[in-house]
Amino acid sequence: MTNYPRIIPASDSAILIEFGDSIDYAINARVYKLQSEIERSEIIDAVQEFIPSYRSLLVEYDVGKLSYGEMRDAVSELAENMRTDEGSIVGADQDAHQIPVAYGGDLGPDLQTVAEHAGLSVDEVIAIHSGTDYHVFMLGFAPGFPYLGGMDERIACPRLATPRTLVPAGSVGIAEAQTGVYPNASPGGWQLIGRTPIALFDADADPPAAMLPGTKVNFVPISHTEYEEQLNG
Amino acid sequence: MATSGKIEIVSPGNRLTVQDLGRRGSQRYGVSVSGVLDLQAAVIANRLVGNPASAAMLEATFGGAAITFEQDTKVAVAGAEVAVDVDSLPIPNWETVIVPAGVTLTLGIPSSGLYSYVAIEGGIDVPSMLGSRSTHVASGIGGFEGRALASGDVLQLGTDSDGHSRPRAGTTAPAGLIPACEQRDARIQVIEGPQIDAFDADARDVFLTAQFSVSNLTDRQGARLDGPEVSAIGGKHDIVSDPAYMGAVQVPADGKPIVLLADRQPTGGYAKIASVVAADLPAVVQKAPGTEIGFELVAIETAQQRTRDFTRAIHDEPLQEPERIYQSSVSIDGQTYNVELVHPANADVETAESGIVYATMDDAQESVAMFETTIDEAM
Repeated sequence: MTNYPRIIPASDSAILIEFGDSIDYAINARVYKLQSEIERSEIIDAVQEFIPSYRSLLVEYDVGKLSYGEMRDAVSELAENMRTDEGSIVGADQDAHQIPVAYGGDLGPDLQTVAEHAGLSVDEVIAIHSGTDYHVFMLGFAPGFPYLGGMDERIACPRLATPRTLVPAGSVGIAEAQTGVYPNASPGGWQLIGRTPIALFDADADPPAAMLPGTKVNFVPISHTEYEEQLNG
Repeated sequence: MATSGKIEIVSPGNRLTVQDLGRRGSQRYGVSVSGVLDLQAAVIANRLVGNPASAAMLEATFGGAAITFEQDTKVAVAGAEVAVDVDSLPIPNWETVIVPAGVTLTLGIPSSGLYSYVAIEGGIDVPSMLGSRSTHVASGIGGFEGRALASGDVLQLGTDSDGHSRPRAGTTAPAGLIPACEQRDARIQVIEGPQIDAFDADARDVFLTAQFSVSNLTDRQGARLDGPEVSAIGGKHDIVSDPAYMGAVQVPADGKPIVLLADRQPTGGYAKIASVVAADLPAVVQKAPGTEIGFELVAIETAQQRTRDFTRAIHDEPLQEPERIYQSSVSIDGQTYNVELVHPANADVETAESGIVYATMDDAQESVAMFETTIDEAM
């Protein structure tokens, strides 16, 4: 069995710290905890970029400033000394960031399908989907695209048999036991249950993503009129 | 040439994009780095026109591009081995040239290599997004309107400068940094990747001894390789999505390795068997489809030392000054100028005499601006 944290060279200028091999809240929390520990340490001067993921943290660094051995020793000490009790988890005490969603109708053409598959009413699906806090494990795949955890399995639903050639930006979908939001218009096979009027990614904003890695979000139902107002406002 | 002009894309060739050193610091938000693929050619091309390494330039895929310049402009082309013409006169790669206003610089089809870098004094002045001017076409971010360039596009040049070097026409790249054929044929050095344990001894042996061939599906996202299958133990090529990075060699279920390049997504779900040493990435990216490629394993310490040496060389190795071949003075509009006609250390005289940069004294009197870097006002 592998001992975690496992610290290895990923490339000549990147070090990888793995906290496990599965999708798990406690493992993911350690990823963000270590990132914040490194940000507060003196080795941050050599760090060029972080890529946090479900279960590991990649740190790209300037090999002109630190060797792999120096980086490994410093990161290893930070990881070993990390307090991992609930209170020390980054963002654990934060309120969920609220994402407005207009459900159903032409903005969520598959809501009825999801409801029928679940044996629930449309209103029940909306209540379940918007009644849960979701954890943003990481962003990836496309700018601002969140990998969310925590969906209630009662509203799980298979992907479309034939993916759509164009899914509008902001579409909120379900695929198996996952939910997610398309930041940009793209092809896609998720069951679309609604749409958010807010931009998930804005290169001119700081930070540029509406859903931040390692944080919590929830979906707040709005009317289609409010959707139009917020889209144009 | 202090004021910045414009350039017009006459033809983008196969693909022409604006790139700089890449968009760093936003991968955690799902943003791809993008940026130049061949760091060596790009950094040296920028140095040859007096730009900082970070200035934005044009990256041409497999040649074919044609560009006109609004005013006399200092330019350098580096990367693939390709014929470059200015107004039908050949100019060398890896050398500072001055392209006169209104004429067209044209790239042919490379005889070796894939990507050419056209660095232009002052850099390309497209809006900076998240700290970079690089184009990531798949997400529509950066560059010129977030897309590859098309015929008729007009780009504004900037005022980027390294502040001191002002290389003269005829300046050439450090001799040891112009890749030779035998360097490009050498085995590519790698270190073990994060999921090396997903591959048994036989699979590792295949990876490190086989000759692979670069697939014609290769693009800016990854160099895709054909050859013997590299199979993971139990066929388990998928992993929990993990950080992806430049030079990582991932192997999906079809057993065909992919070297991840600048346009990669920040995270990926395939086992990574190895990681290419940064100093060897220029050789990897310049391998055109059909070219052979093989790998050899080195220790992390060796890899890091090569990267340090590589970084120092491309940024600090002195450029080669042109040789002076003729000195005189001319009088233009009542002012006296000292004139030097130059030719580069590695060009023969015939080439020198036929090139735009190396015009006669009569031409010099007609076009003072062309010789801006070699004419100093008489004291």
